[in-house]
Amino acid sequence: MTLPTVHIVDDEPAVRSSLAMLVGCWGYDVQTHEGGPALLDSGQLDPVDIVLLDIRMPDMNGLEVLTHLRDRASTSPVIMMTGHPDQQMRSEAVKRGVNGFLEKPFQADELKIALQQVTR
Amino acid sequence: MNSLTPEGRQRRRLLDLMDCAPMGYAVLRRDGSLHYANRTLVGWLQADSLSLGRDTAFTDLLTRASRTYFDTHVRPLLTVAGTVEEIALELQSATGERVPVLLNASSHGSEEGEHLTQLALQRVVERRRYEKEVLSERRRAEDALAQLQDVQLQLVETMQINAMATLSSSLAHELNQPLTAVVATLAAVRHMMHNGPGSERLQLAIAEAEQEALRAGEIIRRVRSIGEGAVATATTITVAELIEGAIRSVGAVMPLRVSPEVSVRPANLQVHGNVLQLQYVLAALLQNAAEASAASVTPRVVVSATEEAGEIVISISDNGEGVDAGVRADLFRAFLSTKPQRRGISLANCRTVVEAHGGRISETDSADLGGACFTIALPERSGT
Repeated sequence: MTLPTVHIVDDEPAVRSSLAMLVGCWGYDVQTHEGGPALLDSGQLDPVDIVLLDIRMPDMNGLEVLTHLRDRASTSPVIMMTGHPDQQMRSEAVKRGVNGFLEKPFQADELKIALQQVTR
Repeated sequence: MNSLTPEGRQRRRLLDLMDCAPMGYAVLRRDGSLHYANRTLVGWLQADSLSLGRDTAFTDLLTRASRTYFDTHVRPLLTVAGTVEEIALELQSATGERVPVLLNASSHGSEEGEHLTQLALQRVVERRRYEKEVLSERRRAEDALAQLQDVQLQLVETMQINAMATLSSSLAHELNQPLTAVVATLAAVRHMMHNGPGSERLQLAIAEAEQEALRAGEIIRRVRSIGEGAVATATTITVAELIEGAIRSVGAVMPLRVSPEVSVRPANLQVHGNVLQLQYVLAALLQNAAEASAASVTPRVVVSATEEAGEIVISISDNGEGVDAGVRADLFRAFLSTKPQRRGISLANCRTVVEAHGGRISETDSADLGGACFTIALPERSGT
């Protein structure tokens, strides 16, 4: 079975590269993006592609990126990563069509399970 | 009467004038008894001149407190200095009414060799009323000042809470990023060396390192919850009042060189949230705008508030030099400031407060004024 591509969107280079290395170890194709605009400019996502999206980013926050994706009718699963989850943000993300949450720093197994759950 | 000499007539005329003078006048003998009291004074006391006979001591005409004061202070002073000025006393009339007066007095010997003391008494009813009004106003001012100090104290506490929340939030964000990278890298290394030589011991060591990094993440979460726990209650306030309060609070600390031009549409626009925290945000942005526009020949700060797509949008623009493009990306991060002697906590604080209210804060170039334009968007029914 071919695993989908995981798009890692985070403004922190160390987070991007380490997650790319880890996710790559599990057999996924990986693309990294330094922010929401870079992801959105990269072209139409395949519906099976998974987006691993940081929430707190300077140019465009994760919620805005999610809104843009859904506005473009993208059905790609989106897993949001945050270091400071709050209920209001969570419910807003759910309203906008998020598929999962990970609280930074998270265990590798948590990420693995989250990816498996949204893999189609 | 006609038998009086011209000198006698003149003396009589003077006594008549003295009797109806617009002030109380009395003469005391050495023992303090009344030698003479003019009709004005007798009128104040609601007595008749006959009842004020030789045996009447001046102190009998005073209230108890004034009598004590006269005996212990005024009389000794008259003996020593021969004169007193503007001594406040209270007379007590025959009907018990208190008559506040100011006393001027001097002691001297008469032509007949008698030692006399002249008293000139000025009624001070109006003055007392004014004094009471002044005292009452002073108490009101003191109460208002106490209230203001109370509000300022709350504001300082709010700022401290915000600073703590911002600090913990920023620390959480800044530390969680490298911790996430550390955990992911260790997990990747553990995966890569799977079944390699000596992998069992190394994997154990790496797993322990991962656990320690995760434990650090848990500590950060707990520290952050300290700031989150200290959130104040939310109420509803008109946006106009909110802005007015913010302008007042900035002006109280540092007089603004510019009067902000305020426009709120609709005028009864309301916002729900913690008033002190939101005022703190507006005050910080107003102060920044005022400072930025200060270098302009005609400094301008425009505050506008309106309702857009279910959000309350408040923007503060100035005609300063605007925000440098290189700084813009980090504008709301803690500990980054373009101003000397600033800790870079203010705008980060603003973001913490606005986000706690479920809103957003952003900065763009002001299309109208050419400087910076900070915009806060709050949900119509936001809360903390």
